[in-house]
Amino acid sequence: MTHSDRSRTPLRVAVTGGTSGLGRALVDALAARGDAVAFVARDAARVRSVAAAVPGSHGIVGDVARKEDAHAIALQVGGALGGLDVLIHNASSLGPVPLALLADTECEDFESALATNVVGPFRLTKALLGLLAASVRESAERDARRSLIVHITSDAAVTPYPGWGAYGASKAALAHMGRIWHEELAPHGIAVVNVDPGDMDTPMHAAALPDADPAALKRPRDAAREIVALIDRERAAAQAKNAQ
Amino acid sequence: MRAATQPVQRPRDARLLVVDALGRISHRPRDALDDALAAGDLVVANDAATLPASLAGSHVATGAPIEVRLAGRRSLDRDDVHTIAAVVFGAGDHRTPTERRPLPPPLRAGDELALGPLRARVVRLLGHARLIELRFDGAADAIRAGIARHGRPIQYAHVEAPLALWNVWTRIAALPAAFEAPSAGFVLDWRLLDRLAARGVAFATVTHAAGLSSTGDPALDARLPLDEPYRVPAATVAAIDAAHRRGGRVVALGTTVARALEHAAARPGGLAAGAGVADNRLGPATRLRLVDAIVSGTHEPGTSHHALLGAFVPAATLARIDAALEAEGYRTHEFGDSVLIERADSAPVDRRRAALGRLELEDGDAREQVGQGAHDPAALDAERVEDRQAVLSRQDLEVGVGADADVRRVVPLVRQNPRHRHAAERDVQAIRPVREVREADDADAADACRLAQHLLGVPQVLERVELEDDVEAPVLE
Repeated sequence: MTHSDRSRTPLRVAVTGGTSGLGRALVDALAARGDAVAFVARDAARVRSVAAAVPGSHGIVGDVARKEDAHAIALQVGGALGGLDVLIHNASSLGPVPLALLADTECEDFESALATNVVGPFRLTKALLGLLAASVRESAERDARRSLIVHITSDAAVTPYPGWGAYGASKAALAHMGRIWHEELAPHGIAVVNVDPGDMDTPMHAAALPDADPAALKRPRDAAREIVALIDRERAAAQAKNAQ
Repeated sequence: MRAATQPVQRPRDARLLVVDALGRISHRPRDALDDALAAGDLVVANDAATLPASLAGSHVATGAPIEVRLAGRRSLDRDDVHTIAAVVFGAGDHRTPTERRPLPPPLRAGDELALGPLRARVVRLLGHARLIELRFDGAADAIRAGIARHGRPIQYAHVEAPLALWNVWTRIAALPAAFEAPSAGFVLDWRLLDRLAARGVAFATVTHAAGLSSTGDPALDARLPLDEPYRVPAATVAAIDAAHRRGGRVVALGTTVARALEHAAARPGGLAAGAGVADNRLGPATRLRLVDAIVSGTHEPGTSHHALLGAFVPAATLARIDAALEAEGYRTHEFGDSVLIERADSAPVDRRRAALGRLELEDGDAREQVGQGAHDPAALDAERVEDRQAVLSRQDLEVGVGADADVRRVVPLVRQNPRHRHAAERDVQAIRPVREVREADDADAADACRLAQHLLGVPQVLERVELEDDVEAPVLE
């Protein structure tokens, strides 16, 4: 931990999909520098195991794709952290596994990708918006911070890769929703950013492209470090703007 | 009144009964709440999210089914979740009116309660056979998860369909702290927040652990509200100070906000940021220190919420409000219609004096300044005000009201109604405030109209401005 880390006010961060891949790496990176982290994942045993392995983290069992879970997750995030500065929508669904041409994609698999990648983040943002806005209000005097929502997107949201129809279309929707959220929430001091972390060596990538060489892929912890730096940059930019 | 039976937070036909400081009653669509507020006012809401505080389970020793309704915490500290005050019911659920619910088995200290995934013990009875302090087993995260997964929102027989959390969380719900929804906040959505900001009405929050509104047991109901922890952020204290400096009203959105702010203001040293436990009771005997107006649901006489309104208006006005709500068929309970009541007693003298010198205008620049809390009317450059927009100066006021008038504050009695007039958008901003004559003066409604017309004076202004139809004879009490 550097000197500047010690003087920094710890962030309160929620991460979905926090037990594997990039999500787990984000939990590790944030907790290691003293931030309070609540993470969400579906598998209770894995949630328990990560919560036990990462001191100071709070594990929440829930499925962002389920409507019934959104407020239960939000309640536990708010209760555990006492507030929320940053929300990272990281949980993702590929849709059909193995990947399929759109013409071969079952409607249910397409809907499942939309539920996890678009509707779920929409619901959870809504349920946590009060906490994010409260964080802005309460810090207004102290250091003019703004709250941040991060959407983990993909180049598949931009480039039409054959076989990535459900995933690509849902990530494109997520990214565009993020841009609209950003416009609407900016007056309330909440910024929304889309981040494409690149191709990483994660369980999801292995499910999509089992033959890929892991050594040629980015390590999740490197992507996590970049995202943490981006979070700090975004918040610092807000401070500079407010100081003017 | 009729019970509102559908769990819709913002029904399109929701209504707002407005009572001004003279006790005059008017009716508005509730989504036009912002029209009843003026630039410089401050709205304070309770941003507590609502816990699913109804826990079904059993009394382990007897196996008897019970429903535990969590009702009170000692603090809002995030780790202070083990020990909670609760009201215990016997078998059944919300569909049976609380007063007809079977009693739970006799409860004693040490009794074990099985509540879905949660285990708890009765620590002690709190002066009543059904009001207990309980202690949950387990770590704080596990207790929160158990409540989140197993609990249901507390609800009453007038709404039959089981409520989900999204039915009871306000749009601004933040820290999960309330045991029942701070339902006055149902009026808010993000569009209204944007409209308030555009009007120059400031917005701030407190977090208050709103407790039970009813238990069905007269002895218990008489003890409501229980002590409720709250927190006032520093930004809210600053917003209140700023509202006072510019002579704006502090409008509490809900009884919980009024209770928290008045409790905080009554502490030695006055209002300060931080945590507290509200053990005060607002009613006819209360001298309000801070809150100038309240937005609340419509409440039946005999409830603690109704009694609280007695802090704002004399009994005779409250009786007229009750009669008007009844006559107009307002809906009651948490998903019902609302009232906006401005307190009848005078504001403290120094604040009234501050308001006297206040220049009120609705130019876009002025609104911006209000929004930034930098409202210094004297510094506003009159050159920037379009010539159509009348500017009230202190001199105007003295001409209009006379030297003896004791002027209290600005209320927007006169405004434009763009829905009817289709004025050009720029003109829509020409909302003119009128100095309100204090209750003790003998002004009647006709005078109020004449005063408005006199002050506005210019014909082309009158063309674009309608007198509110709520300018009616004030009832002096």
